Amino acid sequence: MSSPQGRSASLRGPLIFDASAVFNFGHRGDLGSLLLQLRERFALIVPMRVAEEVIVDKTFAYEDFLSLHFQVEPFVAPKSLAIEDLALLSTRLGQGEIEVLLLAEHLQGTAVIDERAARRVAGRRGIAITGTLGLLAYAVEQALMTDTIALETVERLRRNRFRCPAVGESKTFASYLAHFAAADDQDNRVATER
Amino acid sequence: MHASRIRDLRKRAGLTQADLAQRLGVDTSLISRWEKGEREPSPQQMMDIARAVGVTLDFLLNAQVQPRFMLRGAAPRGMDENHEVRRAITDAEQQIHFLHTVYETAGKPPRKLTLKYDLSAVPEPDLPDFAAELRGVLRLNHFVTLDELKQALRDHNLHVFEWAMPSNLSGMSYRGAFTVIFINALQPKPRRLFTLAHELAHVLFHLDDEQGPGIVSLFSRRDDREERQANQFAAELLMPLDQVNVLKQQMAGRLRTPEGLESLAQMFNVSRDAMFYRLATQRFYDWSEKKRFFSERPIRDDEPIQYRVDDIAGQVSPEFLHTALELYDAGLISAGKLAEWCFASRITTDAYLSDRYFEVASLIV
Repeated sequence: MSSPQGRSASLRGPLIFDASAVFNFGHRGDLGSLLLQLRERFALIVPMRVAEEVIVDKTFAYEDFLSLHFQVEPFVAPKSLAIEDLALLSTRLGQGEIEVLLLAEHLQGTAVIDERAARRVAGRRGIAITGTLGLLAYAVEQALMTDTIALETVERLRRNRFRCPAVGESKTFASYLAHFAAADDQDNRVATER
Repeated sequence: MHASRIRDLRKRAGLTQADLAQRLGVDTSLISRWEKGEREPSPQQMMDIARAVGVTLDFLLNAQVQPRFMLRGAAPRGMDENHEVRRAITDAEQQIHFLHTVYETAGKPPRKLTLKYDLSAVPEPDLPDFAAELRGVLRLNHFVTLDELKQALRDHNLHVFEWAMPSNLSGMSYRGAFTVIFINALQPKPRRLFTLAHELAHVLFHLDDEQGPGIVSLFSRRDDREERQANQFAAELLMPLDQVNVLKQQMAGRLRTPEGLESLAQMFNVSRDAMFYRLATQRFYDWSEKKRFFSERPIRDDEPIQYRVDDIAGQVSPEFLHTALELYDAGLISAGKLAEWCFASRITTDAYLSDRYFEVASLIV
């Protein structure tokens, strides 16, 4: 399940996107216009490995989508990273996700990634992180998008198979997130006990 | 520890030290020093090495158990130079590492194969008897399907992975803490069934638990003793003699035509090749007749192989997938990690996880 955590108040650029976030802004959410607005405020980066993961599927024209909205950057490991850290990361995360987190650490930016396992790693390493819904929250707060459009976007994302709860009775994006966060905290408690 | 690993994987990828140095943008002497253990690559270089030799970072850095697959002695000359075969072997070694990782992360011990047979000390084993006994143990009837055999083997802790592999590679088998058979998903189902039974023979008779090298079976030059034994055993297991004899009598002259042979093959869920082999070993057919039943089918190994498939559940062993999904649900691993473990693309993995999520959600509603 995705998480809205990493609220907009702490959002700092550049924003480094993981594959699932690219899919959400691409074929799932059709959020190209929001990316254009975000790009006026932040550098939007996709690590090389993530770009490879995304363009492997030719059904959607992701090569064009990436070149239009993102800078594709080679991976740069933070100086503080030890081989042992990398070995541990590689047991829990895919290589694209590792590049997203470490590039965010290196650039002092924010990782855009919708994965609980990645969030845990980010927390341990002090990396700023947000998810697709976190960016929608930012868009609403910054008046880049209305509540109604944001909630419609959630429904569109769900229709296109993004794993997040239905909008239900929520009238504002903030109330939707509050409802979501309660369920997500419960999930986290269960996971942490493992 | 990384030194020999880097050297082995570089060689397996068909790269010279100079090739690797060029890809990484470093001096060749540095590669040499890494491989001698005089220097250790930086984290960034490790990521670059993994990419250059075509393995996951996890496999490069963490593989404790180092499974090995060896081409059989009777493999055609030059086969070890075949890039696609080498890559399939490396992937198989990775998959076994992933099995270890998944079970270890889940806190589950590996489950050893519960079938025990050893023909190594038997000069002329009675394969029909062995096959009949095993059919009983596995509770198979006389007409076995691929899914039935896979399920029966799962019950005895054997993992079956169905991957896209080069056309000249039918299957691979490995026996260690986990017992694994890989079969070529690009082959039609009847062929895969025979391959599974063939690899099972290798597992039971030619491999042991001591984590020696696994076996790679090729679609050519099957003239060594162990390959012959594996073929004979597969034929006995899938086409029991008494059933074949009954049907032979019933079908009589029809079996002299390609259509008759095809009908009989379909009854046993095997290929026409396998059925011909069975009847020829009974001297019902003469080997020289084979041309009458088959048109020439060139084996091509120059076709590009699509290793990434769109069917995660169909490709990996159900137990492996189940345990990996438990880890994903607990937030211990990411979708990207699951994609690596299943040799699937991110978009396929995301779609699979989404379908599963919405399926559960609809059940709850």
